[in-house]
Amino acid sequence: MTRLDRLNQVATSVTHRIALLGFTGLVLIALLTFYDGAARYLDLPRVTGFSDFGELLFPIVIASCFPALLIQQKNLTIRVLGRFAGEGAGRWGDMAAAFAALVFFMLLGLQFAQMTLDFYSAGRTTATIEIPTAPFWMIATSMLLLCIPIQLLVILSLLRDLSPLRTHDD
Amino acid sequence: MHTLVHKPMHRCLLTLCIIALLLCGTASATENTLRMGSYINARSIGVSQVIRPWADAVQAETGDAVTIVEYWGGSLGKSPAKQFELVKSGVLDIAWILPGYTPGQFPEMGLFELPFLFDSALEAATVGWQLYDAGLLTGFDGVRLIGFFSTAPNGLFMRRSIDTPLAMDRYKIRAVGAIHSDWLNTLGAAAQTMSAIDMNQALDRDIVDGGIQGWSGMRTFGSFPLVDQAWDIPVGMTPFLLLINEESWQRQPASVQHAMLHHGGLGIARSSGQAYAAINQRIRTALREAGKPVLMTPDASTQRALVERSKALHTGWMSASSDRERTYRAAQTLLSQLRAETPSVSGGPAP
Repeated sequence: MTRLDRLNQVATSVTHRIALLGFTGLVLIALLTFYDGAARYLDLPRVTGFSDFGELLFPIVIASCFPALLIQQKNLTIRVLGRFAGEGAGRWGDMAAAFAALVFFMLLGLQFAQMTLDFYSAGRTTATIEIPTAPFWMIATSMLLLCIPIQLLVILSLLRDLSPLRTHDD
Repeated sequence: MHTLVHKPMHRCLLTLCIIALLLCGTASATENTLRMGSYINARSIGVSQVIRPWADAVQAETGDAVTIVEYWGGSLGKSPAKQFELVKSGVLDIAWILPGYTPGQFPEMGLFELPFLFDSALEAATVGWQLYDAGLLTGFDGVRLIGFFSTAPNGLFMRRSIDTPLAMDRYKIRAVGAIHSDWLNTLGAAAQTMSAIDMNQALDRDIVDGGIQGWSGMRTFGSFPLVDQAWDIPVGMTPFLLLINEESWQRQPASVQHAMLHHGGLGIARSSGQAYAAINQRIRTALREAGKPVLMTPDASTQRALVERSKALHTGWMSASSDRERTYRAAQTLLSQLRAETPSVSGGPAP
């Protein structure tokens, strides 16, 4: 097992835990929705600022999935080049696509960082119960920024596969 | 041979086309165009009776110095919550903003949501502009205020009928911001902030039992058929801002800047105050004739109790920061002056 394989293993484990954390947030929202819906019919107190919780948790839930998807390369891929131009060209196509994904996540991460800083400096809060939004966006932004080293790792793995002398086993 | 004869003509035509394109390019580059818009449609009171007359007056005064192109109904961005970002980033040069949708951005704007403080749209708009002019309203980095206007005092509109607004336990009510939310909590209700469009869906699906909304907003968004009761309680105002992107402002010639502020500022405060008062009157008359929703007015003791419960909100809001206290005190002084000048709009003292 090479150092790259070990890195891949650690990254896969970490990203899985992050995705699990994100989905815990989704379960929390589901429970809250269930309670608020039931409270309507059971004459129980309703939740003040119900959608505020969604506003805070959904960005984290969504962002938490990206690192795991990237490391497992579960993103939607259309492989046409390999069929027509051969396996080698297909691999170079994958490499170009991986590089494009890296650039995309770098730009996305920068935009999110800028927006989070704006929210922080403006003191933005949720509308009903006035919870500061910046800390939650910081978590979501961190997860998106994590996609950059993860995608670099994907590119390194693809580069290794491009070399005819190296295999996964060495 | 045929080709050779026509070659010079082709060249001529090509040259003419290039010159025409270059001229068009130069013309459009020198033209001073401003994109103005909102997610709200052009038939709304704010657009038809406040913003469009302002833009027409600016155009009339400045001639060809500026062209204001209008994008209503969300052509350049449909989300109510994103309107401030649209103008700050320059997607829109001028935009109609509801500060309640960007909570925390304008920390002192909650003043206008406090129940039983302002009695009319004219009061809120005039005092709002004066507070901004005095530097007592913050959060305007990257943008500049051209006009401040407001709804007439909001009402409480119920899908599920209630006997008194003092006991709304187990009810969920749409709020416009955090202050309304706190006020609803003092009455036992759970609050949920949402846009007017979302409120319609929530009322229709029985997700909320009622909502705080301006009377004109109820008409603009077609919400009246969704409610059974319209309670005449002055549940604070919904302030509106007409903002211009700072860079767009800086590139305007002095004559355009002068015209914008001349017709904006207190001019917009007065014209919008009259427009919202008139439409409010017409809406109430129409509802009275139609009989649905039923117009409800709290009796004297309920009214006193409502004022009493809102006292803590005023104190709580004011004591949150020294800036807020200064703004609140200044607003009270400006209100007293305004009420002394225009006794017809004066109401009772703030709690």
